[in-house]
Amino acid sequence: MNCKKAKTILSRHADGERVDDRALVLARAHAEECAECFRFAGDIRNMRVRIGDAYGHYAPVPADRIMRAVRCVSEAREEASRRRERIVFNDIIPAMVATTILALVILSVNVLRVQPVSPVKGYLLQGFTSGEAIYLSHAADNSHGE
Amino acid sequence: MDDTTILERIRADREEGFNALVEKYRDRVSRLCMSFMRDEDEAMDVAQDVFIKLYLKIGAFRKESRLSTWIYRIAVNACLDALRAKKKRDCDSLDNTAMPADNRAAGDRREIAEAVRSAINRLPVNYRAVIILKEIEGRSYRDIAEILACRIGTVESRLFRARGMLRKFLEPLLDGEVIDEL
Repeated sequence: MNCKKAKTILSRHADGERVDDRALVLARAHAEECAECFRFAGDIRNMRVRIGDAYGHYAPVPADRIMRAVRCVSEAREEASRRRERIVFNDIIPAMVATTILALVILSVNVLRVQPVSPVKGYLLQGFTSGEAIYLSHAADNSHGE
Repeated sequence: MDDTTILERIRADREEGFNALVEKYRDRVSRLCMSFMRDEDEAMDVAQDVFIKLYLKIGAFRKESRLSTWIYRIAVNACLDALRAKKKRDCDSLDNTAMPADNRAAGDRREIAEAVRSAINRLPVNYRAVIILKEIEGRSYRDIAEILACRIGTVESRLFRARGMLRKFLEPLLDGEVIDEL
């Protein structure tokens, strides 16, 4: 077994990972013979002890501080949500209704404007009396029919 | 209280259930934040932010990973973000002022601890994250890979390199302390 492989197996074993028993025996045997690998395995353990000592003391953040902050954020979000709803109901919906009404008015005006002029009205516009206009209109219809 | 019960309680009553989650995880999150940040006030601020994030995101937790892994992931990311922000703010790259202990300090437990913390803080953040998660939190390679969203092989290689760097930084402390057991 070479040093690289031995170090990998020794690290995994020191870290509590599963390693093949036979590979571990071979890695240990290698380390017994190899000063560098022996030292490598020892260093992992030494470092672990040192790091454990260095980080052993810490102050947990108080639970009430966390919950106060959480409540604060939660209330702020609820207020923002209520504000959004107010904007939707007070501003956006009325604006949409007004826009729709305006659009309908414009559309209906345009539809009325492009209505074709009836034949009777056409004759009236040309200066015929209403009786003449009706007569001419019927005559025109009949001639189309023939 | 197990995580499933906590999640059920959060579903039933968000605030009361979340209180249970805080009780269970505040120690671990605080320790993790302290490991990354060093400064106690900063660590507490980050830990508090972590729990706010958890509160806001808990509804989106899909049980694709364990709750603890998910919490660690959010906490590690919050710590890394805070470190980046701090670095930007202070224009102070990793702490280079406190150097590893010299032999004079070797007898002083507090100074040794300080030297170890300084050495860990000199590591690149990716290496620091794996060292903290492995050596302080005792997480498995698989958990670390999940927390850092990388492959197990990457965790192993970062750990190997991080240990190599720490070995150099802490040489005076480690020399002459070889444990005779493999």
